[in-house]
Amino acid sequence: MSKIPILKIEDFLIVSIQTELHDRMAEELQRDIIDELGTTNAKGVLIDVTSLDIVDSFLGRLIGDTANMTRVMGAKTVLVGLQPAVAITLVELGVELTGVHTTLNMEKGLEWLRNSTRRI
Amino acid sequence: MRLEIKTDNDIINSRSEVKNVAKEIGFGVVDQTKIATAISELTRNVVKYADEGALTINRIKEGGRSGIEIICEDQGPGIEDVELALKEGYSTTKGLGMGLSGARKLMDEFAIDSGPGKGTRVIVRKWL
Amino acid sequence: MAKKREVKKGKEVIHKMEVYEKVLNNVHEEIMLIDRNFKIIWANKNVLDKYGTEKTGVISDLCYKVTHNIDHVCKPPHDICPVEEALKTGKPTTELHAHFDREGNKIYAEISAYPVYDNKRITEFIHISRDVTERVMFEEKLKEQQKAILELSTPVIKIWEGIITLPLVGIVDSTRAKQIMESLLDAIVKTQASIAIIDITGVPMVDTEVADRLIRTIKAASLLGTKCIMVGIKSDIAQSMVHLGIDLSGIETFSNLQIGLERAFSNVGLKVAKDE
Repeated sequence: MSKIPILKIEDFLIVSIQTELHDRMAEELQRDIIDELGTTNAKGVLIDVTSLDIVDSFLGRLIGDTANMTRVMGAKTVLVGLQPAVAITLVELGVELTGVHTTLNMEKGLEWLRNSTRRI
Repeated sequence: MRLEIKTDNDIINSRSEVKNVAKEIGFGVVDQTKIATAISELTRNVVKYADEGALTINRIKEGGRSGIEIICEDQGPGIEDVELALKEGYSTTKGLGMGLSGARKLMDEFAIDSGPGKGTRVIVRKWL
Repeated sequence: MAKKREVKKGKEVIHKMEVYEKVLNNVHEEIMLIDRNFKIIWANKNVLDKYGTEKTGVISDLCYKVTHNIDHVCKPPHDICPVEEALKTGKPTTELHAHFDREGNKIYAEISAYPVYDNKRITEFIHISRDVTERVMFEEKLKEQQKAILELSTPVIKIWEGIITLPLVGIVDSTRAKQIMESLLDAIVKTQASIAIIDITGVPMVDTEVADRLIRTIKAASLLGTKCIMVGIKSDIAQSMVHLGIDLSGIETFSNLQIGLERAFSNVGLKVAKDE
């Protein structure tokens, strides 16, 4: 099982999930994101799920928990590129993903991160 | 078609197989996703609680309409209170319940046979 | 004297048989008499003409081998065997089979299996096959047209960069609601819209079911990252929604499209100004 790479762009961590996530991979990814946040002082995390065909309640909960963890650490999380079929399924399942901001694409995601982490 | 459910990998394999069969039967993308997600919930339960189990995928026909039927069974510890397990929703249960109620919400028909020491057998169906 | 009677009876029997043969060989259906092991005991002319050859007859062959050219009883995904079903239930059973003729064209056959009883035990089956291709094709075309009508009735319109609107007209039942959800979300992804205005001015009635479906659609759109605004809520619908306890919190709603549009524009940082 190969690790999912976490890149750093500007002040943010970018995670692009290109393959199907095994449960263990997903948990490992969550740990890696939190670790990276701690060591790099990034202000936000962008998770790109454009390639994810299936998001079940386990992964949905994991994403929600990750967003909560990052918030506790003072950072923002944005979920990018959720597929329509997946969104419909999540709503049907009753997975709310409250507290997770979502955008249609990378550009809007980065824009949102910049806006919401700007020091006033 | 019969698939073995033992590891994390099998959860993902089952999902793809089911999605392919659903596609062949003629289900649209949204339904394919719902069916595959329901199977993900069921097979995860097997991996988490029963060590191993099996998934059977059937094409079904009834009175002119076509559909898909998936049977998920294991010889695990079984569920003591099925009614309770099904009632608990996403936000309250951390385990078995969520998978079952999730699968039920996504499919047209849902039947479960389980008891302590009896193992578990779940049958789900979706029609075109 | 007795011989004359015998001959007369013989002629009667032959005459009867000729009548039966005439009837059985001039219908359009393919008729076979099959035993419990799927072996063909008798077949009418249509069957012999269609499946028989000079060398192999058809009698005492297995019915699935002759009609489907397979080595096992018909079962899904290839069609359900009505003979098996009839054996199970003891009742006449009809199934729809899809075959391909010699040129590869799809033909539909309605197959009926009638159990024949001898002292309460099933000894044989009458297997009748009817070509229903035309009927099935017609039904399929009808379904396609219905689908097209459904799609036409949920047009999503891009009214500005990043803003789309979905005007709903007529009754929203569960089939339509499904179509609406998919159309809207696909349009959102295609146009990368940040705002979707759902206009229910043309929807005559909103009960809890309709509201529930609309709310689910909006939740799904929000999951994609698009803000939804609902407009066209008339006073009587507003009243009934409150009475039914429908919770629209989290969704911005306006009475008409104009106000909703202004809100949408301001959301994307635009303002409509008059040319002085």
